[in-house]
Amino acid sequence: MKLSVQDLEVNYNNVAALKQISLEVSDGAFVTLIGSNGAGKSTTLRTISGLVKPSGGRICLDDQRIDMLSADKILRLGIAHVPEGRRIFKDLSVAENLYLGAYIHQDKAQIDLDLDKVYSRFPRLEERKGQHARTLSGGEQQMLSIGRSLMSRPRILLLDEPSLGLAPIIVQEIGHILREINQQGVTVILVEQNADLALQLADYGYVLETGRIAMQDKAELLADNEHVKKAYLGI
Amino acid sequence: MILPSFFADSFYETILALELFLQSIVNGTIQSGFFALAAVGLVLIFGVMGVVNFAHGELVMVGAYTVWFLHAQHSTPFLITIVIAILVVTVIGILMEKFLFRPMRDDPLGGLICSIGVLFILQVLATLVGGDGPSKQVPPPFEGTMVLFEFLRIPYQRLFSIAVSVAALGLLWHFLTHTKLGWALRAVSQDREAASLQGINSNRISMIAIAVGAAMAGLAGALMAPLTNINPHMGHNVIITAFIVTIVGGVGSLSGAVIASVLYALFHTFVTTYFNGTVATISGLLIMVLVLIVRPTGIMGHRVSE
Repeated sequence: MKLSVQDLEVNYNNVAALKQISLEVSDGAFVTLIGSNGAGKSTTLRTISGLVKPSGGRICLDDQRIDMLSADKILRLGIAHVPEGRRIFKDLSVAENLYLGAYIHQDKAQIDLDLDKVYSRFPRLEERKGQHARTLSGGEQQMLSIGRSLMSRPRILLLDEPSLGLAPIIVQEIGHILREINQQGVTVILVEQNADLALQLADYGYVLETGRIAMQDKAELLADNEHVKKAYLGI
Repeated sequence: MILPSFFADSFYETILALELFLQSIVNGTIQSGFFALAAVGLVLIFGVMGVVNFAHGELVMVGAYTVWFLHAQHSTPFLITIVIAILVVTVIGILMEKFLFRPMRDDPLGGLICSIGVLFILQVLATLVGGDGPSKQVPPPFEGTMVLFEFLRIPYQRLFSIAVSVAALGLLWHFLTHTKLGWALRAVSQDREAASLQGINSNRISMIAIAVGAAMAGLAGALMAPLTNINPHMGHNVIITAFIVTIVGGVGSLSGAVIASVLYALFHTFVTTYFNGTVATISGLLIMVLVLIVRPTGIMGHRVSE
């Protein structure tokens, strides 16, 4: 499944948030969007997953235009979105959160297999499956949010700032898990302010600045770029 | 002998007071069923759709009118009219969602104003159907009174009402906690956007929420019909009660609404018994204000982050 974004434009109250963004994400790729606050990274993800409607341009999955579809229909096409701030259902139990991730599926047996997979990937979620999600730590909540999205059996996984507010050791753990998910064939599009982590994980990167793509290259080349180093890697 | 007769009088009075006290507990418990049925609908609709449904009391009223019209006027069997009342009110709820609340999705104030419009429309329709004369009465279909311990009196009609209310609330509870659709409903009320990212179609869930909420309101009205005065403005008391219960219980918390319904019904019954109904409603509203000051999230509510 190839995702292509062409000349995407998004306006919020007549202010341009995205100005002609174009991305190409091939099947199985690990792509990252880096950039500072307000550069349009989240807006790009939110537009792909159907939460925000573009005012121009198009988003295609293979040959199908998806930019007019609602978020629940886009998920059914295989694009799952782990939103910024985790957005787990705090008053539901861990297990209920995960089952809701599989809301679009009806095959009970496969759902239970997927659940076992998520639990083996995140053993702490299994230990806490009966607890209200609000009682989880920040890292566990992030794992729940990722696990919930995996329950939909995505072909493309969008992640918005999964490292935000987490201890470095948890960030490493989550990075490790994202790489594993990608190696199992899921395309990953990662939005991160932690550019260091993002460029380590990804194989291709885009740098967003004020709603435009300022640079794009292989991740290791971006990590070596002087401008990127100075502006985003703090070196 | 002065002393023994004093004892005897005092003993007799104590027994009477105790009987009144216990009877009030029973009455209050029965009352709580209506309160809870009306309040959970309001909470569901507000939680899922973000709209305060001011017409919720009128949905209860329509339920009561349906029973009056079909049972008292046209001798349809009571149990059948309950089912019809639920259906009628559910359809009204679904129409409200589809034609008013859905177009007003991004405008909670607009939705609220629309619901006030529906309130007036339903009141006028009720007047057209039933006339504007004195309040209607529905003779209780279940006659007789159960007497417990020789002094507690529970009319079978009330016993029936509380049993059905508890069963309906139990069903709702099961639906919300044990079915995928129920989880989806709670998910949408907690975070609509995150729910849509799980593939949950929030329009469909809104429809289900209002259908369930309206069905509960219709049931409340139908059960209430033989026990109360039916008139086009009876929804007024219902909505005030539902607001008090919702806010005291914690806006958005169904369990809070049910718990608060029981507490408030007991409280209201006691104050009505020992003082009068007006004092009871005034003090109920005072309690609501106090809760808002002391614990704005209500008994079971959580602070909403972000």
